Amino acid sequence: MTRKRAIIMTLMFAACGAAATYYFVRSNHVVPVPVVPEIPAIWTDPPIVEIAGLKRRAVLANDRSGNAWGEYGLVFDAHDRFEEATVCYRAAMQLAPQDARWPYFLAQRYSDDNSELCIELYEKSSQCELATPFVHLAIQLTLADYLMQHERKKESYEIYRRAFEMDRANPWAALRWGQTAAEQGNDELAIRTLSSLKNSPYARKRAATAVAMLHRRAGRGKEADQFEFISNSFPDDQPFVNPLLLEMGSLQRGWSVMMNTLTLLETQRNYPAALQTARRMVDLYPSAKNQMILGRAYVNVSDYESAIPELEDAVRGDPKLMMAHAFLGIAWFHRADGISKMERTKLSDEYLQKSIVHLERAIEMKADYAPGYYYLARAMLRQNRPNDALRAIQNCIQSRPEEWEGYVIWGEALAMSGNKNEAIRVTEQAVSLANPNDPRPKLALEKIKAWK
Amino acid sequence: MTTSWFFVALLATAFCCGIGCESKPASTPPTAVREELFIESTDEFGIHFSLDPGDTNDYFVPKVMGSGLAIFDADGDGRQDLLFLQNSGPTSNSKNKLYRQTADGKFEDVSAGSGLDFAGHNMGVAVGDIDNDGLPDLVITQYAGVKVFSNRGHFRFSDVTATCGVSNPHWGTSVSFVDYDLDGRLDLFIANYVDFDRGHTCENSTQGGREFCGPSSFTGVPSKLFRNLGKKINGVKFEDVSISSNIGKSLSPGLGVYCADLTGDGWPDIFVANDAKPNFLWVNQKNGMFVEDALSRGIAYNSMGQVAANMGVAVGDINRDGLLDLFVTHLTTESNTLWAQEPIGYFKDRTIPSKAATTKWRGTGFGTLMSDFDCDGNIDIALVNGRVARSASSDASLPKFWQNYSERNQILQNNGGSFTDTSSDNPAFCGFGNVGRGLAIGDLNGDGFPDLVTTAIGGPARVFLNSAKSANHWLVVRALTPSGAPAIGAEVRLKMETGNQLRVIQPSESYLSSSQPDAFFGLGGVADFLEIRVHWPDGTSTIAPAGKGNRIVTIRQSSPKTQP
Repeated sequence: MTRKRAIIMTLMFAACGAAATYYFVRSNHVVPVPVVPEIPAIWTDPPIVEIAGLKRRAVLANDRSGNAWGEYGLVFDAHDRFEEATVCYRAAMQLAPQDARWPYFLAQRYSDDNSELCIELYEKSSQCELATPFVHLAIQLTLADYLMQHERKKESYEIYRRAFEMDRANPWAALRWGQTAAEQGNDELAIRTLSSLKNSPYARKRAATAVAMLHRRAGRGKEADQFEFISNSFPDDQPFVNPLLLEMGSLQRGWSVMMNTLTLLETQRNYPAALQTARRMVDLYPSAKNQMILGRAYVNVSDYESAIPELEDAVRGDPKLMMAHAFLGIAWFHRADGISKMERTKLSDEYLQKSIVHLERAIEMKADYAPGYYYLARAMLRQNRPNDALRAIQNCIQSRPEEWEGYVIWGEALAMSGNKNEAIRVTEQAVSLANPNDPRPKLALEKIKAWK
Repeated sequence: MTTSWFFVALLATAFCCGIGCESKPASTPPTAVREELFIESTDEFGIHFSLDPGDTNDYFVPKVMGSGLAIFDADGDGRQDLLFLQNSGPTSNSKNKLYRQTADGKFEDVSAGSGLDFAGHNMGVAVGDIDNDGLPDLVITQYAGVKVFSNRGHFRFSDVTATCGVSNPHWGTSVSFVDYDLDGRLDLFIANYVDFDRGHTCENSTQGGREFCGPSSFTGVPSKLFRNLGKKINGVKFEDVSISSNIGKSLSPGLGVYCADLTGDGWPDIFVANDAKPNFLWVNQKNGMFVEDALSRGIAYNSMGQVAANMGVAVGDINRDGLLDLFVTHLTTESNTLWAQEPIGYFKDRTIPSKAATTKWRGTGFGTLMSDFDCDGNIDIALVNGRVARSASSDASLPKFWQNYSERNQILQNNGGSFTDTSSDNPAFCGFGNVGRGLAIGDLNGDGFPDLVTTAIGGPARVFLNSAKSANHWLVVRALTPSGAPAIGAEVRLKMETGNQLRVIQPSESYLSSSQPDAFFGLGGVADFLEIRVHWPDGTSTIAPAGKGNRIVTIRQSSPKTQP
């Protein structure tokens, strides 16, 4: 072999060796993972411990899975343990760098304290490939909102424009694009875009307010008044649907989550669903308070017969539960009402008396409890005690002067005690306070006027 | 050999040069040193008051909401006196305290026999002359109640609640006087909080165990408005106009209140900071009625359309454009919000551009005030912090129960429309932890620079004397009604060569507290002003001519347009 050939061969072997070494090192470069966070000792709520345990076991079974780390982080995040959540998200990001979720959730951890890092993470999230179009849109809009909050308007406007182009039906994108158009002085476009949200429960109130402002800015006072009226007639807009936050929400567990769900259902007047939730709560967390909540749920679906034993158990367990006494009073009242329609007066009197005892106990514990006074007055009227009823109903009205129902009872008590003129005046007040489309106060007024 | 030695020498030279360059410190611009604005002077003044929450095992929510204080001249001697409220319950031994400022500048406890030394769940206080006799009267809100006191002079107050027509069955919080119908008589607005159920229990989601419930656990209740009908045979009478005015038709968890003209039409409006709900701006319709218009005026939500926990309210003209701006305090996890009024009657969230949220630390803010602490002509912001739910960090200086609720106060100094957090430069006011609640402002030592007084749950009330050593000039304008009482609602505009400034005589702001009802101005380096214009609530004006600063200017309305 000539010297020249030997040098070439040596160089070739050296190059191959270097390449092999490079690929060997690269393929074996292990992303270090942190120690798997423990489930906090203060977590004693069984459903929370259960979901945390499930997700922790998934990480222990495969500590190279970004998804496992990320979901464990979501459990911590959903239950306000942010330090542990951050550890998990960081690991998830390193192990699954193309998953848009983990930089997004990590960004949220820095949104208050480190805006630069927060923006960097949102941008990183928005560039990840593993995201559905809906998720991608939510990330873009979150980033744009954050940039907007930090007065980086030009950047956020551009994102809003792109987001709206991507999905014109998305209320979040539409509202923001409409607001952007308004800021840029393009009133016609703004009004057109915002008007498309008139049926969206997520943005109609804000859209109507924005349209009103645009009309007012243009000197169209009448139109502005119209849209302000429309806006005022809507309830508050619901939060925008964010699939990422929904995913976190699906991992929330525990008594407080069930309570929040129950409260939401009651607010929405979805009483049958609230009853189901209350039943589950009592099964999972037996307590006098939860029995009271179940009793209340039965009252709200008018199942007074089922309500009473639950509420009686609740007051036996904790005699200081004001609401248990109050709802027991209401339940007994309605049971008496149901019976007296069948003219079994002795039994209905007994039930009325039980109602009064519990209602008086409730208002003893909470002196401004208007519903307690309201039902007490009604019970006393049933017992032909108009003067006592007057005292009770006046307390009700003191607490809740804006509620028309109290004035109707006040009118009845006045009529029963022989003061018909005053009864009419007071019931007219009920009519003026109530929704004009509600026939009940008007019927009550007619009844008072016909009183003999 | 010569070559290699030269090379080594060259290298060595380069090496040493590098070390030399590195060892020489890089020149840095000198750090600006800000003077400390306040020093604590509680003991020197003889104030000994601690806000006693009583037994906290039941996590009774009114106790974590704290109580306020009032700085006012109870006896008309020109010196500010102090009233502190207690919140440990009606059967407690801890009672409200009234301090009289003596001629030597100290404070003397005159609670006994004053009529104000009673226990209870006392929340907020408003000071105003309800009968136009020149003496400041008081209204104290309570959990499920309210008390009205007529000032009889000589630190004697009579409870006239039963005869005056004011009643409130709800949980009252901040309270304010406002002449909403411009008839020359002070009317009364009471913010009510939530329909609280003692049987409802809550847990701390991060620390475990029981916790005080938040407002979302309960429904809001209607606020109250009472119209002053004037003096009758048995004293002043009020009429409950909550429903007829529309104010009582909306339910909300009201905490902070500010009453003044916020829409530029000369009629006072009512701003209510609602806890975890959109704020209210009750716009005066000039016919006895109000319309709630916060949403369309941009002050219901922050710039992102989000609602926050709104507690304390500070009001002032931060950018000297002649329009009042509002600063509202929130939770530790949120940033406080600064709304600038632009244009008249409409508000924009300017929190980020004003740097009001660029702070060294955050807290759950309650009492807050705007005033020109260093008298440089720009109004600054002070706020007291203290949590409502336990955190992991603990402050051993507080009673055991409250150690995890402790937070430090803050000061934001105004640089002409934008703010710098100078809390670290003010260790006296900001360097310790507390569960801060009430904050009021007044000139306790008569030097023209505003001082601060705070209350804190489970801790002492503190007095912070203004220690700004600046050479800046100051001016205090005292605007009085014909009867000699502070003209609540009067706008005081100061004209100077360097620009104009606006103040409103409204002692009720912050949180549950009432401040000295005078207009404090900082004149900066200029010792003179060109004009003081007082725009009285009845629409008339009084102009004081040019003059020198560093004094108190008293301007009394000569003849009212309306009957007393």
